[in-house]
Amino acid sequence: MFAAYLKTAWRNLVRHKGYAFINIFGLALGLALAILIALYVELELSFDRFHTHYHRIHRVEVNYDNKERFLAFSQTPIGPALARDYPEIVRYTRFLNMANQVLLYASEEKKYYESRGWWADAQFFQVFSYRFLKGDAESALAEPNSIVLSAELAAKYFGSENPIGKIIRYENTIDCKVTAVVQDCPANSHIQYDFLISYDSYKAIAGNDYLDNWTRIANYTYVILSEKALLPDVNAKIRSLLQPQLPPNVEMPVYLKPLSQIHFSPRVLGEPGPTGDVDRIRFLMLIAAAILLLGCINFMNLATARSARRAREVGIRKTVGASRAGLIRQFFSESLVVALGALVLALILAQLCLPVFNALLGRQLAWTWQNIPVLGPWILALTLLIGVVAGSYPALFLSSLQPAATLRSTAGRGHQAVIRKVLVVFQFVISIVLILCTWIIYRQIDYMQNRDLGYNHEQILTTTFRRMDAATISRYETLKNELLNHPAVLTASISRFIPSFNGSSTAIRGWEGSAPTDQLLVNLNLIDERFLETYGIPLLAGRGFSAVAREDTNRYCLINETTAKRLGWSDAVGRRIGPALVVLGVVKDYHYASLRFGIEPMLLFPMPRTPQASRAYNMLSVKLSGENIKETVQAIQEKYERLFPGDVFEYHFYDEGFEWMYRDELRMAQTVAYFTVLAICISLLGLVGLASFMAEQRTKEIGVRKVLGSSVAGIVLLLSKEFSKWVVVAALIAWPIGYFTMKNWLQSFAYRSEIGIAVFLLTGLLALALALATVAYQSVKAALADPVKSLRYE
Amino acid sequence: MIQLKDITKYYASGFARTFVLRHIDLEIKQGEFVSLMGPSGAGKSTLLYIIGMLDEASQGEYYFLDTPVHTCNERQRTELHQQNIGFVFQSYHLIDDLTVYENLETPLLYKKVKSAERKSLIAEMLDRFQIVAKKDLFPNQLSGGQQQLVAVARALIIKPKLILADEPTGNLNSKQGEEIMALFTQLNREGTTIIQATHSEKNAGYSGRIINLLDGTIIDQ
Repeated sequence: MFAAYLKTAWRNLVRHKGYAFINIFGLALGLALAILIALYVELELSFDRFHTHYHRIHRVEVNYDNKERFLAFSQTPIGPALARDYPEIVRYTRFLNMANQVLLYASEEKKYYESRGWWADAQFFQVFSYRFLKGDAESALAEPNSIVLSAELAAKYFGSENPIGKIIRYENTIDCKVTAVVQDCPANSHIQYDFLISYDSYKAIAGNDYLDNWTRIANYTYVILSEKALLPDVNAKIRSLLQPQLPPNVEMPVYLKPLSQIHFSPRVLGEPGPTGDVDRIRFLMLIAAAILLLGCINFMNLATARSARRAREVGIRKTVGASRAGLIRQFFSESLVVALGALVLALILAQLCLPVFNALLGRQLAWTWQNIPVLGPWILALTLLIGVVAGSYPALFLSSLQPAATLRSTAGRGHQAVIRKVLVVFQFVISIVLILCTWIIYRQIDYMQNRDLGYNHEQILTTTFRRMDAATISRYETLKNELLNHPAVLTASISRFIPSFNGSSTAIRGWEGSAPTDQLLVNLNLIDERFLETYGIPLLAGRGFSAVAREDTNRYCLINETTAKRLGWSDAVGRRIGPALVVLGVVKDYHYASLRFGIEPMLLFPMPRTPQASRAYNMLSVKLSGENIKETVQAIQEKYERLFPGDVFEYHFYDEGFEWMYRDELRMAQTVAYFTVLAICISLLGLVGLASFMAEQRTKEIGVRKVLGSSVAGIVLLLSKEFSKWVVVAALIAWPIGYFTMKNWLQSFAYRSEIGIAVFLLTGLLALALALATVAYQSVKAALADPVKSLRYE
Repeated sequence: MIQLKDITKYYASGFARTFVLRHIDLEIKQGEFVSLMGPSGAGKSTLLYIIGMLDEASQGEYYFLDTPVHTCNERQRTELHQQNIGFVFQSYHLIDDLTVYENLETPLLYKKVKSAERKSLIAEMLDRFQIVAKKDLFPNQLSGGQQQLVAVARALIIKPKLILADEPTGNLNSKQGEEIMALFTQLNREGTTIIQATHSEKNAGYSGRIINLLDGTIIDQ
C-alpha cells in the first residue's frame, strides 16, 4: 500500500512540475537555513565542553570599578595567592598575551609574523585539555624557553620534518625549543592560540619584577576548584583578596566565573577569544523559523489551491473503498516525500552556502563526526515535522470530504480562499518586516560611518610598530623625522593608540574639588606633540605638548571636554588631578570608539622617551598630502626597511579601520539582508504558483468579461487588484512590527539615525512592486487568452 | 437486500431547507435490476449515492444486507461499501495519475488483497474486457467508451453484490452504450444486483423494474 502512495505522490509531483518545484525549493531554502543555523547553535552550545575539567575550571575576574566594568584578566600574583591561601583551589594556570604580531623565525626562509601566541605557564595543559600530537602535557611548558606549536604552525615552519627539539627564535630576542605539537585549537574553544611560549621566558623580556607586580592587570588566571567546593562560598571568601594592595576607599572585588558561563556571559573586557551572543542566536533561530514557515505556507497554499482537483480524487478513492485513515496516510506520505526531497536539496544548498554563512557569522562551521550524530536526528525530526505540518491541511480537510459532494461539484471553495489570503498576507508581513529591518540597519551604519567624528581621518596611513625594546625607540623618532622632511607628507605622529581604537583605561581620584571616595574611569592615550595636528583635533583651551619636556611625562596631561564636564570644571587649564598631574589643555570631544557608545572621559599624556615606556611606541600615523600616494608609500616603506632591516613593512589607510569598527553591525546587516532576500524569494515563488492557479481558475470569468467588452488592460488590473490588496494589508500589519523592533534595536546606539516615514512607504511600495511584477506574467497571459477557446473549453 | 425507510435528504441554505428527497420507502431484493428514472433534479443521483454510502440521508433508516447503515460509523460504512458495492459514473471518474492497470488495482489495495491474487484478478478483468493492450496507458490516452469499460471493470473487480450506475452511458455513443447495457444484463443474470439512474427509456428497458422519481418522491414503481 505504501508503495502505491509513493507512486501517486511521485506521479503528482512529476505531472505538476511547477508546483512541485515551488514546494520543494521553497521548503529546501528554509531547511537549508535551518540546518546552517543548527550547525551554528550546536557550535555555540558546545563551547569549551571538550575540557576534561569543564565543570571545575573557573576564570579569575575582577570588577574593576566595583560597578559595571568587569575584566577577564587580573593581577599577575593572584593565581599563586589563591592557590596558597585557599584549599578549595586545587590548581591554577596563568597566561599573558603577546603583542598584536610577533615575528617567529625558524630559518631565513621560514620567518613569519604570528598573531595568536601566548606566554603560558607549566600548568596550562594540566588545567586545559588540548590534544597532543607530539610531546606531552607534563613536560611541554615545564622549562623556560619552550614553545608549543599547533599542528598548522608546525607544518608551516617545519613541513614534514619532526619539529621536536628544533629552535624557533622569538622577535630576535629568545631562542625557544619546540617541545610539543598540539592539535589546532578547536573552533569551540574560547582560548585560541597557534603557539605558546613558557611564561617564565617573559621575564627575560619584561624584567624579573614584572610578573610579581600587583599593579599590573594583564594576566589571565584560570583555576580548578576541588570537587566539594561551592562557588558562592569561594567567591565570598576571595571577594576582598585585593584589598591589601589597594588604596583605602577603593574596592575591586575578585570573583570566579565558571568556564561554562564564559562564552555567553555579558561582555567583560579583554576576552581572550571569540564570545557568543545569546540574543544573536535567538534572533537567528527566530528568522530561520520564520523562513521555514514561509516555505510551509507555500506548500499549504498550493495544496489548498489545488484541492478542488484533489477533491475529485478523494471522491473516487472513497468510492472504490478507501477509508478516511487510508487517505490521511496517503496525503501525509505525499507531503513527507516532498519534505524529504526538500531535505536532500537543503543539504546540498547548505553545503554550498557554508562559506558565505561562515563569513557572515565569523565562525568556522563544518560537519564533523562530533556534530553529525547530534544534529542528524534533529534535522530529520524537523523535516518530518515540516512534512506533517505542511501536509496537515490536505490530509485532514480533503480526507473528510463527502464523495457525493466532491464528485458533483467543487467543495469548500470560499473557506479555502480565506485561508489562502491570510497565509499570503502573513508571508508578506514577514518579508516587509525584514526589508524594513535591513533598510534601517544599513541606514544606521551609513549614519555612523558618515557622521563627523570630530577629527580628520582622510589620507592617513598607519603602521604598527613591532618591536618594543628600548634601543629602537630612537630609531622610531628618526623615522618620524625623516618622514616629516618628505614633501608629500604633511605631518606624522607617534602614539600609543590611533583615535578609532583605544585599549587602555584607568581610574582617577583626588582631582581638585573631589570628595575622598570619588573616582572616575577614564581612557588613556599617549601621544606626541604632532598627534592633534595629524588628526585635526582642535585644542579648546591651554597648550599642547610641544612646549613640555618629554621627560615630564607624568606631570602634564590633556583632557577632553567630557572629562572637564564630569569633573565639574568650567575652567580646567592648570587644575590638578591628584597631587602631581596638571591639566595642560582641553581638546574638543572626538569619537574615539564606535558610535554605538557615547564619548567617555579621556586623558592624553605626552609620549615618554624613557626606555621603560617602550610599549607606548605602538602606532605611527602619517598624514599624506594626497599627491603621488603610491610613490610616497613606497618611499615610506624604503625608509622603514632601511631602519629596521629584516622587518616587513605593513600599513593600513585609516579609513579601512571603520569597517573593522563596525564589523559586528555590518555582519548583522549582511545576515539580515541575505535572510530578507531568501524570505522574499520564497514568498514570491508562492505567489507565482498562486497567481497561475487563480488565472487558471478564472479563465471562464475572463472569457466572459472579454466577450462583454473588457480591455486587456482592464483584465490585468482586475487580476492585479486582488494581489495588491493583500500586500497593502500586509504592509499595514508589518509597519508597526518593524517600527518597534528597530526602535528597540536602535536603543543600543548612543547616536542613532531617525526612522522616517519614507522608509515605511518605500518598503511597502517595494513589496507591492515585487508582487505585481511577479503576478504580471500570469495576469497578462490570462488576459490575452482567446475568450472563445476558454468558454468552449468549459 | 436494500431497505429504505422514510429517507429524506435536504440541504440547509440559510434558514431555508432545500429538499432533494422526501420520505422515500423502497425495498430492493437480491438479484434485481432496477432503473431509477425521472427528470434532472428529481433526486436519482442523490438516492443512488445514499444507497452507495457515498452520501448520508438527513433522516430515515437504511438497511443494507440487514445492517443498519444509518447507525454505522464511517469505518464500518467504508468496510461494508468496500466489500459489496461497485460504482459506475457518467463521467467515468478514473484517477488521472494512475494507469489502467493501477486504476484496477486500487480497490484491491484498499481491500488488502494479496499481491498474487491481485495480479490474477486484474489479468482476468483485462482479458474479459479485452483491454490487455491498454493496461499501461493513462485515462486521458483512452476514448470515452474505453474509459467507461475500465470504470466498469474497476467496479466489478471486487466481485460486488451490488452495482450502482449513475447515467453510465450518458457520455457514450449508442453502440458503446449498448455494449455496456448488454454487460449489465449479463452480470445481472449471473446474480449481481444492479441499480442504475438513467434518462433513457431504452436503457431502462434492460431492467426488470423501473422506479419513477419526481421532485424527490417516488411517483410510480
